[in-house]
Parts: sequence; structure tokens; C-alpha cells
Amino acid sequence: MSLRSAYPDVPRARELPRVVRLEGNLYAACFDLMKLLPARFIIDEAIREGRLEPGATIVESTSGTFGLGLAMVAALRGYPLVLVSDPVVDVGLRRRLEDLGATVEIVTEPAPVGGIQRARLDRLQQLRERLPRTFLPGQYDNPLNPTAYAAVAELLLECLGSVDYLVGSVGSGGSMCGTSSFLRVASAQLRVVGIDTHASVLFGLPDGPRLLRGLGNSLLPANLDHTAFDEIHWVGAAEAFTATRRLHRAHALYMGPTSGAAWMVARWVAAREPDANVVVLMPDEGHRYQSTVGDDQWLRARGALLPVLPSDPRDATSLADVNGGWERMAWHRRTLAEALRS
Amino acid sequence: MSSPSSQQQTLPNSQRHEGGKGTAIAHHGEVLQGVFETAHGTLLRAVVSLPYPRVRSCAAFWPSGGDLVEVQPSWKTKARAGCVAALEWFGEARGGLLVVDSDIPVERGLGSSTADVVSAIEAVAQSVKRAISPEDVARLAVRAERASDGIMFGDRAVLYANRSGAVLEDLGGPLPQLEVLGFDIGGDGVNTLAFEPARYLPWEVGAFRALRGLLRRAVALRSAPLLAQVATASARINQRHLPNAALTLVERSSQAVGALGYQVAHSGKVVGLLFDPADPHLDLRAAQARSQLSAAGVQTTWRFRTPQDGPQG
Repeated sequence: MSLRSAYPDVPRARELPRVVRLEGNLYAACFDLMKLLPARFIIDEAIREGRLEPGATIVESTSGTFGLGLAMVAALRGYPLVLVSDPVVDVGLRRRLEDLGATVEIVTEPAPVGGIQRARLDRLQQLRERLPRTFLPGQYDNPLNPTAYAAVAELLLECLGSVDYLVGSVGSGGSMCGTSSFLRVASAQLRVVGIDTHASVLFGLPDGPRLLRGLGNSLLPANLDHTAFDEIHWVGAAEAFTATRRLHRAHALYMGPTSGAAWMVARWVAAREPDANVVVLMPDEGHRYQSTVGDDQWLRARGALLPVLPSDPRDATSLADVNGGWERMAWHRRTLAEALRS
Repeated sequence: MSSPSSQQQTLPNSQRHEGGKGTAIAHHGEVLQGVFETAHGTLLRAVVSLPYPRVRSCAAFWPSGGDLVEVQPSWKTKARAGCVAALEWFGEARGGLLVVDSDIPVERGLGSSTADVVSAIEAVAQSVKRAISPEDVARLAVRAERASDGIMFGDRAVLYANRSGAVLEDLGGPLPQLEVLGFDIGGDGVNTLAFEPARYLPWEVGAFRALRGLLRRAVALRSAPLLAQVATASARINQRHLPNAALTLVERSSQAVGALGYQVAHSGKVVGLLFDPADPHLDLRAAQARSQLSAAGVQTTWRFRTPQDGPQG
């Protein structure tokens, strides 16, 4: 039925993307804040099943948008929230989190073994022991993170009927593995193209410092199902940032750098497969990146503003061959172990 | 449950003793069965039934002075319960004679008892010259038989919560028309209530949610292929919970003859291969499927087209 009614609350109103036809066979699913969807779903499911009791404290280790999603939902559902973060959490985000009532604990000292990530997890463990009742949403290993994306598959199937390609960046594995598993219930032909960045361990590269944030990871999340992917692209920071600016100019879509990277890859896929429906997931808006990706000087100082955006990726034949720029490799729905062996 | 909110004017007694008739069609199992989210965020079991208008239940009701309801044949106790529930609903403190005549095979998952209940309720409504909405028929049917099938909505495709009688979603039109080659997989008869409700995993509930989106598109576009995709996926997901012995056969046969897919009676014994009524090779495909099924030991099949504009037509 076409009668529209009011949303019951802000997370429900903002958790789903708008599906926009960018050109011919290329559709974008544009989120305000994608992580709001799993945050809201995980908390509401836990309340429904009695795993999150009144008075319990929600604790999570995050310095990103999942924390913001949790803070919004925790504020509305009436739960205290403690987020364990490292010093790189940006000032604007931290203000928003604290405005919403969340406690942000900054861990400054790296652990002797395992660095700052380990120190954050240790602090989280301390909190869980100290507080009487805690609930850990656990975006990296809670299977309800990918499950939340059934709502995105529902929307895409209703809008498009079938999806031939799903393109998007990978961080926790939740959005890409979740959405694709539900799309495949109806679209068996679906091919999944994941986007990672160099010095991320997600698809078998060695860990290292990364300028491009919001995709990639230094740890391997349990929610990443490698066998969902047909093809992997590695996108460097300069390509992603430049693409983000071009996306704004080309479609008035003001999005974050993971969306820029995804758009660059999805355009290429859509041009190569003109008869296929291609959907690209765009995880967040550009406001947070105004003083970085949105600033030419910031970009130039890091050599991250390209005069020309590459039109094609370089084909990498093996993982050892992946070393910078924009590269692509057929993944063939292998496990990570299988990919590392070959 | 409350009585109808808009009480109609009471008619003179002389006109209230006439008999009434009602008819309800069978269904051929479901195109979708699972657990779905309501507008309030709760989860409910619900189905979308596939209408099977070839067979039906006809009921007639004659009120009497006494307060007992007698049903013929006497074993149709659910129809009698529907009749009693309807009389109570209309505020009629009386009994009468209910005669039910149905050619719907029982205990095969074709909704024979719901059809009896619905035709009985409609016969009572006609006998007291009152209108009753499908939503109210559904509530009464659930009261009479605890779990009912969604066949009281005519040509409206609805996602029907078959254990509470609520419409979770009105899909805004009829189901797209399908050509169905049905058969019975054999085995003992089934009692819908004897089925332990499936305990779906969170991922499966998510899969039903995705299929709900595809179903909306199938109805809006009147697309037989999309509807068949929904039905096939629903049958596959439910196989883990309500195993159907013929699923492999149906799957193989569907692929071999180029059917759109298949559907099952999730708590029953009938299955259907689904075809596009507009397919120019329809007869050839159906004949090939028949001979394939026959080779596998299925001797009796039936073919029907689901209604385009209302199952009563």
C-alpha cells in the first residue's frame, strides 16, 4: 500500500538508505549513517530477547560511526553507553557522542603486545568485570550485524526486483556479507565486488598504517565471510579521496571517502556490464570529512589529490602483486586460506 | 474481541429466520510462509496463500428457535465452531442447522477446514442479513480453529498472520496470475495444528524480510516470474523446518522443463510447479513435467490457473 506514515523514532527514520539511479544500470544505496542500522537492530533484538535488561550498560570498543549509531539508540532506549576509543577519535564525533550521553574512554597507552587495539580490548574487558551488568554489541563478531542488512535487501528487491552486482567497501563485513546473503535468496546470479585498501589484512595483505579510514581493518572480523565475494578491489587513499570529490560534482552526492571508493569501482563494473543491474552501497555523508577530504590543501599536503581519476584498475595476478593505486583481483568466493595458498 | 462497532439496524423478526449461504475456495498451500515484523517491531508468523478456486466449500445455515447448532456432516466440528462464533459475533442468541458441502480434499494442506469455517461464517452473515468484512471473518476463523489460512480476502493479496487472524500487510492488489501443475506427494494426512511451529533462525527471518520486498514488487508489477521466485525461496528456506519429501523431485523437474519455480503447502502434502500463463510453450512444458513426474511415480496431477480478478470468478 502506498500510504506513508510517520516513523516511530529517529533511528528508524534514518537507518535505511535512499536508492538513487545514478546512470543507466548503476544504482546507489545512499545512507546517512549506515552503522545506525546494525546498532539499532542489535540493541532492539537484545531488548526483545531479554539479553539487554534495564539498568545494564552498553559497552563497545569503537572510534567510528558504529559508536555514533550506538549512542543515538542507547540515548533513546535509555541505556548508559561506554565507548572505548583511541586518541585518533575526531573531535567533532567525540562531541556528538558525549552530547548524546555516551562516556568516551580514551586509551592512550599501547599494550606491550598487540598495540593500541589490544589495549582497547583489555580496557573493555576491565569495564565488563567492573560494571554489574553489561551488554557488548560486538559489531565484528555478532552475527546480528550482517542480519540487520536484511532490511536493505528488502528495499533493493522491492525497488529493483533483482540485483546482478553488489559493490561496496568492507570493514566489519556486516553490510556486504549481510546484504549479499539476503539478495542471493532471490537473486542467485548476484556477483559481489568488495573494496579493501592497502595495508589492510581483510583480504590477505600485511597490516600497516592507512590514510584511508572506514574500510579495511588491522584485525580479521568473524563477520567477514570471504566466500561471499567474487571480486576484490584495493583502492588507495588518493584514488578514494579524489573519487569522493568527483562524486559530489557529478551527482551532488556529498558522501564520505568509502562511498567515493565504492563509486569509482561500481562505475567501472557498470560500464563493463551494461545489461546488469549494479548497486553500490554508500555508507555515510561527507560532513565529517569537510576539513580533510573536502579540503584541497589537506589533500595536496598528503599527495592525495589526483589530477585525473584512473579509468581502470590494474589486474593483480596474486596477493603479492597488490601494492598500490587501484587494483583488482578475481576472488572466486574463496576462503582466505584458499586465497593465501594460491 | 469486541462485537462489530457499527451495529446495523435490527430487521423485523420475520425476515431474520431465513437461511443464508456462503462459499469459500481452497488454497494450494502458500507462496510465502515465515515470521515477519509488524509495524510495532514485534515478530509474527504469517503466510501468503495461493488461491485454488477449482474446489470449494459451500455452507447453508437455517436459524432455528433453539440455541443448539447442528452441523451436517457431524464431523465438521470446526465449521460448527465458526458458525457459533459468528452467531455470537452478530449477537444472535440462537441455534440452527448448518449444512456444509465441500469437494476440498481434507488433511492435504488445501485449507479445507478454513474454507468450511469461512463458508459457515458467511452463511450465518447472510442469514441475519448483515455484512462482515474479511478482517472480521479472519478473526472469527482464528477463534474457531486457532490457526486459519488467508482465503477470506478475495482478490486482495495479504500477508496474513494465521495464528492471530491479523493482516500484517495488504499488498495492494491481487497476486499475479500463475499456471500451476499440482500434485499430492502422498503419505498420511496432516493436521495443521499438529505441526510444531518452526523456530526460525535470525538469518531466516531476515530472508523472509527480503522476500517480502520482492513480493511487493511481484504484486505491483503483476509479475508471475517474481512471484514464483518468492514461492521457490520460501519452500527452500522452510525445508529445514517442515521437510517436504518431494522437494528434490520438484526442483529437478522445475529446472528440466523451464518452469518459473515451485510452491509447497508448508504444512501439507500438495506441491505445485509454477508457470507463466503467458508462456507460449506452456502446454509443452506442462506435458514434459507430467511425464517426468509420472516416471518418478506421481500418476495424478492437476492443472489450474490462479484467478486474475477474484477467486470467486
